Amino acid sequence: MNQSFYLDRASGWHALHPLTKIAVAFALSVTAFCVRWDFISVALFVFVVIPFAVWGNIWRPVLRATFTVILPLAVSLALIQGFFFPGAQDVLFQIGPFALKREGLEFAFVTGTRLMLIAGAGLLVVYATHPADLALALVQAGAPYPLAYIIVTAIQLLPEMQARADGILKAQQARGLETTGSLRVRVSALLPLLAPLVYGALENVQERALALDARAFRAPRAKTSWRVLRDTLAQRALRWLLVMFSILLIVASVFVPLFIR
Amino acid sequence: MIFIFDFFQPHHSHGTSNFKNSNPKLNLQLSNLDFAYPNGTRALNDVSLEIRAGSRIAVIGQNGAGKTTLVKHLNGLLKPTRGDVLIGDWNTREHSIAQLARRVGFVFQNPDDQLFKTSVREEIAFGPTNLQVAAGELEARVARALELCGLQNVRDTHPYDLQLWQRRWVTIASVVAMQTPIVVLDEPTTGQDAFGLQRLADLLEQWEREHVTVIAVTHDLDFAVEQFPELLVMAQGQVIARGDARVLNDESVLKRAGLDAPQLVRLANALGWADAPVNVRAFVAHLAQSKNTD
Repeated sequence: MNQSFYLDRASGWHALHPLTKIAVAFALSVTAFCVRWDFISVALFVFVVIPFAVWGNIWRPVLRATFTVILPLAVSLALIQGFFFPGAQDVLFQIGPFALKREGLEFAFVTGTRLMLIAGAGLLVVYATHPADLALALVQAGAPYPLAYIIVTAIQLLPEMQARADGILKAQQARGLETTGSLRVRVSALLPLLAPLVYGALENVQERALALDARAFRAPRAKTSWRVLRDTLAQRALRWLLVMFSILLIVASVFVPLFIR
Repeated sequence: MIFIFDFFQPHHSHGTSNFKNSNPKLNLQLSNLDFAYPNGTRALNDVSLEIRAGSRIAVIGQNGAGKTTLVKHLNGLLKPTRGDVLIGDWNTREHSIAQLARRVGFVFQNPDDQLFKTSVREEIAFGPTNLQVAAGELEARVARALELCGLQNVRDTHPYDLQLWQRRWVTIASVVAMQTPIVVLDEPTTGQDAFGLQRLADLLEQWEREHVTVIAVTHDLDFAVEQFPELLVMAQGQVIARGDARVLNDESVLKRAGLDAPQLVRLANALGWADAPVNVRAFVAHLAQSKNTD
């Protein structure tokens, strides 16, 4: 089982320095928040995220994961905001005491597409960056090693937990536990599934800490890296540009309302 | 509850033959079984075999030979890519893992994937409870499982306060209490000392008396040869030999399976014996016979 999100592909997007990829994702997210045009997120997703995903040969997993995460969120956003958006006036139609309002739906659309863009941009980075490269890039940029370790571990933990959860599910089913059917059955199946996962995670933390100490994790000297990151002057310049652009955008959106409607 | 435990405890010192097995006789039938993992790895390749009810079989072979993949088909943990697995009259494709749990008990390698109750006793009761065993019988089953697995002294202990080898016994006990007609053990000897191995041997005897089918995946060839009248040798996703311990006398089988012959076989070969005995009894008998002919 693959224990990380990373998808090994030989692409130009993969070959970029991790910080460059992060800067792209960051600038995209900032733009989506600062530019007040309802379709900015959709536009960025279609004209930036998707082309980059195609370049990295990871468009299929990026799209699949983005929509798996966002669709349920979007539906609940549309329902809740559509019916209960504070101060909304423009009623589209009425169901009993509840009225679906245009302002609420618009808000749900903007928020939902923003989340979609952020998820897509994040996945673009995570799928195309080896966790070790990400850690190294952070350390070289001056982040403390433990912090880099924590970030990378968190990214790697999800798929690992997924694999373990699947093993636990199978083990309990093999002891006759029904996990499908009525709500009552599903709820009562939660404890047998969650408890081993939590126990295991706690146990894992302790073992991980011991293993790290045993391998001189806390040695004060700088660590040698097995992996080598390739960086170029152009990329460094691009990163600075993206960061400057993002900061300018944030400042501008505070002082100058950027209405593009 | 305490009354029931106290009631059962002394009687068990004389063995548990008073527990009649009410299980139906279920034969296992695997036909033209293929299995490929989602990443494309072909783990089983056209495996066909029949296992009669009450058999005791050890599945041996190298890492990656397909042993665990094979046994995971027996309770529906994995469904075949091609072919069928029949547990009695049930096709595993048509039943959920939870349903198949009535017929096949499965002891996993890693106990920490399943332990979640706050006492050993409750943990053991979990399986039978899922099978809707009546309260009175449940207590009896738990008491019996505790005894057979040597866990009486820790029955109220939190499973996570036990050593790993003890936690393994908790998972074995939780399958014992389910009283399934078929039991699958995945690497039961891992982490067990001589005492634990003896207890395992006793448990196998008990199951044999109850006509329970036992299928064990193991790397421990000596244990397999001593405790299992039938061996199933696997290599590259196929069953390459099946029979009693004498299959290990075949050099070509050992070579294909990537196995080292048990020590006694190697000793017999070094002595130049044509027919290598595979357990101590056979070795001594052979020795006595060769002395008599001298």
